[in-house]
Amino acid sequence: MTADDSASARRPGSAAEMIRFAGVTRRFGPKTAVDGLDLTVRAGELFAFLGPNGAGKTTSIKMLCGLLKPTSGTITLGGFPAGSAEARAMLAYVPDQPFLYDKLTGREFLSFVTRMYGMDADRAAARTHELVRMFEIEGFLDELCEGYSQGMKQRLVFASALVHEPKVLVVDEPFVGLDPRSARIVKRMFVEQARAGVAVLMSIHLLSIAEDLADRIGIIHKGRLIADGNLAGLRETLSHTGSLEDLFLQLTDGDPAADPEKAPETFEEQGPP
Amino acid sequence: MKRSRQSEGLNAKSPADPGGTPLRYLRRRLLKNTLSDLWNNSRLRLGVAAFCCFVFWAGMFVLFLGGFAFVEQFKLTAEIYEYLFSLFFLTLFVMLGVSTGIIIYAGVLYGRESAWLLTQPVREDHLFAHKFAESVVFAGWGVLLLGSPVLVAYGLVVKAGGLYFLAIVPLLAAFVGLPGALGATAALIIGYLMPRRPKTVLACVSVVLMYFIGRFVWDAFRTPGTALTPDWMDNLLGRLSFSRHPLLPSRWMARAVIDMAAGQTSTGLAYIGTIAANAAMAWLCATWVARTILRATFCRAQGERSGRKRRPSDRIERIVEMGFPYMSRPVRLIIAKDARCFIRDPAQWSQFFIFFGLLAAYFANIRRFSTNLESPVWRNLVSFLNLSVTALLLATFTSRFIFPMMSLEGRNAWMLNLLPLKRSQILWGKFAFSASLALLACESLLLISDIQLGLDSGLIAVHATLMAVLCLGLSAISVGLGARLPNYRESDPSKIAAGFGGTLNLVVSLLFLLVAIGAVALPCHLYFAGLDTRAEGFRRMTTSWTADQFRARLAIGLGLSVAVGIAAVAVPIRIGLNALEEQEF
Repeated sequence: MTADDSASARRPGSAAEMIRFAGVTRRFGPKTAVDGLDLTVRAGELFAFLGPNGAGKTTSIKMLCGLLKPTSGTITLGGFPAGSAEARAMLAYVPDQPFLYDKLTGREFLSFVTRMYGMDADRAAARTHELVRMFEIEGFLDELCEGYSQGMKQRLVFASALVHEPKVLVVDEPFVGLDPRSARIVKRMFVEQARAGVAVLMSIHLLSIAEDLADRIGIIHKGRLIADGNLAGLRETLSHTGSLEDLFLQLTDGDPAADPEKAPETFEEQGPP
Repeated sequence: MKRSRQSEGLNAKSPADPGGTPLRYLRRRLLKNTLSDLWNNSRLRLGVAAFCCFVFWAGMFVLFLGGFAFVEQFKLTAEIYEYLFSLFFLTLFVMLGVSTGIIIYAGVLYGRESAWLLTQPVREDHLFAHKFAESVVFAGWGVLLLGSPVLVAYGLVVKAGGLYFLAIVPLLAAFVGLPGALGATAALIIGYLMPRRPKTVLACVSVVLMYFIGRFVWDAFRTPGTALTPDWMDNLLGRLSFSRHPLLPSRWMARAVIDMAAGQTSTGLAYIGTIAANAAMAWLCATWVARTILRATFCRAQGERSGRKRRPSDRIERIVEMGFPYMSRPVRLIIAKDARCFIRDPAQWSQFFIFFGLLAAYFANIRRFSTNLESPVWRNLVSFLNLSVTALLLATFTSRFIFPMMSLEGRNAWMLNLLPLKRSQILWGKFAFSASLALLACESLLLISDIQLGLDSGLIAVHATLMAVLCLGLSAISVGLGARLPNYRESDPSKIAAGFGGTLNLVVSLLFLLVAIGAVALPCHLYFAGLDTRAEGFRRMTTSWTADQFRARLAIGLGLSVAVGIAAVAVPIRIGLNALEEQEF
C-alpha cells in the first residue's frame, strides 16, 4: 500500500470538521503538556500525530476522548464538546494499552460493547460477523481474553472499537505488538475507515507507516504543534527532500521553541491540500 | 444549552442511553466465567477457601457463643447487649465506609476499566453504580462472614424465635449499603477536592482512624475499678455511651437485633426499615454526586506525574553494605532496591509506622493502664499478649507487603534473568530484607514491653529468642509461598495479598504463630498461675512446679518453638526455591 493508492484516493477537502482543537492548553502544575493547540481533522481524513516521547500526543488524545479537561481552549467532536454523551456516541478510542476483561470471551466482550451502544440484536450480529472476518479473530473468539497474545488482544480491541460504526476513530500507538499480518489488516482498516468517511486520528512513532497512510501529518513537540500539512507540503515549506524521518528529526532535534528563527508557527497553518 | 449543542453538531444519531443493562450483563458474565473457571481449574483452591471460611465462621461462632453466655451472668444484660452491638456495628460501619471509599477512590479514579468505560456511552452514575456493586459485594461478603456467626450465637443464647434468624441476612444487607454509599460519596468528593494525592489522603484517613481507636482504647483501659466487677462494668459502659447516640445507624442496628430477638417484631422491623430507607437515601445522594462530579473528578485525578527530582544518593546502599556484609554484592543491591521502593511508598511505611508506633506508645505506657501488673500471672499474661499482638501485626504485614514481592518481581523477570545472579539469591535477598526489618521493629517493641512490665532478664531472653523465631519464620513463609504461588498478572500488591495465595499465606502464618507461641506460653502460664494464690480465675490451670522443673519445661517449649521455627524457615524457602528454579516466565 502506498501513499498514492491510499491517501490520494481520499478527498477530505470540503468535508465536515469532525475533530477540532481550538487554542487548547493543558497544564500539569508548572508543566505545560499541550500549549495552544489548534487542529482540525475532517471527515474522511487520516491524520497522523507525530512527536517525540512526552511531546503531548497522549495528553491531547485523552482530552479529545474526555478523559482529561483542557486548562483552556475547547475541543469538539462533530460539533459536540469532547466527553459529552453525543461526542462519545460517535467516537471510537483505542488506547496504547487497550483494556479487556480477562474473564470475558472475545464474543462476550463484543456483545457487551454492542449492548452499550444500544444496537439491536440483528444489526449487532451482522456487524460482529463482519468485523470478526475483517480482523480474522474467529479462531479464538470463544476463549477467555486472559489467554490472548498482545496481537490477538489488539485485533479484538479494534473490532470492538468499530462495532458501532463510529464517525471518529482515535488510536494511540496502534501497531504495538502486532505481527506483520495483523499490522497489514489494521493498516487496511484505517484506509477503509477513512474512505467510508470516518475521521481517523492516529498517534504513531512508526514514521514509514505515517508516510504511507496519512493524508495529513502533524508534528507536536514540547506541547506545541510545530508542523501540520501533507508530506509534500511540509517538504516544500522546509525545502527538504529527504524522508519523513529526516524531516521529523530536523524539526524535533533542535529546540524550536527556544529559537525564534525556527519558530514552529511557520508551519502551523498549512491545511490539507 | 443542550439543544444549541445539538444544532451546532453533526446530524448525528441521538445517543441512546443504554441504561445499566449492559453493565448488569457484564457482571453476570464475569461472575459466571470466574466461577466456572474456578470450578473447572481450581477446585482444590476453591475447597481450601471454603474450608478456611468455614473454620473462621465456626471459630467466631464458638467465641461469641461463649462470650454471650458470659454476659448472661450479669444483670442488665439488655443494656450490655445494646452497648456491645452498638460498638460492634459502629466498628463495622467505620470499616465498611473506609474500605468502600478506598475501593471506589482507587477503582473509579485510577482504574483502567473506568478510563475505558468513560470513553463509552455509559452514564457516569451507571459507571459509579457498577463499581459500587463490586465493592459492596466484597464488603457484604465480609460482613456476612463476620456478622452472621455473632448474630446466630446471640439468637441461640437468648433463645430468639425463627423470624429473628430469617431477618439476619436482610438486616446485614440493608446495613452494608449505608456506610458503603457514604464512604463512596466521601471518596468522590475527596477525589474532587484533593486530586492526585491518594497517598496523602490514605495517610490522613489512617491517622484519624488511629487517633479515634487509640483514644477509645486509652479510655477503656483507664476505666477505674477492678476489672470485670459490676462497678468497673458500670464505669466502662459510661465511657462507651457515645456508641448509643440515637442518630447513629449502629444504634438502629443494635435495637433491630435486640428487638427482633426479643420477639418485638414490629419495633425490630421499624428499625430495619429505618436502616434500609437511610441506605436508599444515601445511595440516591451518592449517584447524584457521581453524576455531577465523577467525570470531572476523574479528569482532575489523571495525568499528573511526580515531578519531584530525587538526588542520587548511595546512603541506602551503604547501610545495606554494613547490615548484610555476608551477602554477595548483587543480593545487597536487590535488598537496597527493595528498601528504596519501601521508603518511597508511603502506603507501606505509613501503615507500618502507625501500627507499630501505636503499639510502642501503648507498651511504653502499659503500667498506667492496669493495676494488676504486680501479680506474676497477670504480668506474664500481658507480656505474652503483647508478644502475640506484635507477632499478629507482623503476620498481617508480611502477608500484605512481603508475600506480593515475588509476584511483582516476576513481572520484571526478563531483566532479573539477565542479571549476574542466581534466582535463589533473589529469594534470599527478599528474606534478608523482610527478616531484618521485622527483627528490628519487633524486638524493639518486645524489649519496651518486657522492661515496662519488669520481667527478669531470663524471661526477656526467652521472649527475644521466641520473637526472633517468629520474625524469621513469618518472613520465610511469606517469601517462600510468595515464590510458590505468584500472581504475575496482577500489578496491585493489595489484590495479590487478597487472592488465594495471600490468604493461604496468612492462614499458614497464623497456624505457625499458634504453635510457636503456644509451646512457650503454656508452661509459663501454668507455672505463674501456680505461684499466684490470688489468681482464682486460673485455678483450673495451675501447677506446683519448682523453679527447676519450670526451667526444664520452658526449655522444652522453647526448643519446640525453635524447631517449628526452623521448619517454618526451611520448608517454605525450599518450596520457594524449587518453584523459582522451575518457573518459566
